[in-house]
Amino acid sequence: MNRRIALGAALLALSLLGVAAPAVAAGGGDGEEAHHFNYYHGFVGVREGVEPNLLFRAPGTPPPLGAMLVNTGILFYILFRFGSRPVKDALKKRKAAIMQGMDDAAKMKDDAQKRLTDLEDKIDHIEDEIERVRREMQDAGQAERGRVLAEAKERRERMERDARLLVSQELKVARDGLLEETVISAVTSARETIEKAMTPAEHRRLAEEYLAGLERSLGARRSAS
Amino acid sequence: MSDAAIADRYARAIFEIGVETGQLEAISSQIRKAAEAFAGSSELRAVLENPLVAESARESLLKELAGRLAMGEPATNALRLIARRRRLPVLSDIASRLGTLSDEKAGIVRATVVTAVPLPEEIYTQLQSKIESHTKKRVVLKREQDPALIGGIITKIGDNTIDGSIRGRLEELTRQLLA
Repeated sequence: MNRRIALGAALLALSLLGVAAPAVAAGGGDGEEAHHFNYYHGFVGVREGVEPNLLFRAPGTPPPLGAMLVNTGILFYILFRFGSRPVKDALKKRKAAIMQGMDDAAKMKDDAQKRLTDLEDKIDHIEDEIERVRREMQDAGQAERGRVLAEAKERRERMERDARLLVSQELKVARDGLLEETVISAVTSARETIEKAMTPAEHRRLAEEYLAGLERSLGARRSAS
Repeated sequence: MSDAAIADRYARAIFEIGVETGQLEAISSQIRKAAEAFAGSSELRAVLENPLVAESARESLLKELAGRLAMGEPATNALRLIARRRRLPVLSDIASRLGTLSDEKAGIVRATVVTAVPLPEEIYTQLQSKIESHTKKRVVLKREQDPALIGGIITKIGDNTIDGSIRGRLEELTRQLLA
């Protein structure tokens, strides 16, 4: 970039010099014309008391136009010799960058066009889309409602089952407790009654009853063993 | 080895000695008395089971015990052997097993009769007769009283129990009602 700026500045200076030079130049020609323009005297330099020739010119004589042309040619040669390749490369890169940019822009344009087409298509079918979304949401809502209701129903049934089981267990415990209490009370009452009713005759009767059944009991135990 | 197995081995050894010497009943009785004395005296147990008591002191104590119980030489020797082998804690089991073996040898069945009150003698006689006719062996009855029976009789023959008591019937009734 800096090189390009330098080249541009040199060319500008040279152009200004080329324009300004005829206005200030003098000498180098015949008669009055030669006093204003110096075409070829003094290519090497200025010298006192010398007849103006190709190498030297009198003091106060402007530089020769030929020398300026030579200098300009040398300058252009140098610029062409050392500046043409970087300029070419820079231009190639610039061209490639521009081409890439154009490709990207084309691609972006295609994408944008495609999106535009899609959007236009969607806009064209927006009512259908709205209807579809509305239907889907309605279906989802119905399904969710059914699921929630089913869960609630199952939970209610489970709670009812648990409650029924709990109640039946409590009832069983209460019934068993009541039965046990009743039986124990009845047996205790029976024991007290029997104890009061026991007499020597009753003891003897029970003993004889025991003896009567003893052989049967012993026989049963023998067969069991 | 379990205590029962140990007791069985010692009881069988003493039983063999008793059979050989012809003093089985006496030896069995003496060992049973020694076991009762050992079980009934905590001081005796504390001394005889204490490993810090010298062997000679233990021997002299056993001799004194044997003398007081009028134990014969075979029973005394058996008791000393049991003490030396540190088997006195199972002495009652040995005595029980020896008694069983002795009874089997003599054809004796021991039965325990539990009643709420003492019953007329003829009841015990009939009971003994019925058990004898059933077992075909001589029956030795041991009588016990337990007023909690209320009435009736419980007979224990070995591991068998024939419960004809009022308490047993009431317990059976309670079980059936609560089942």
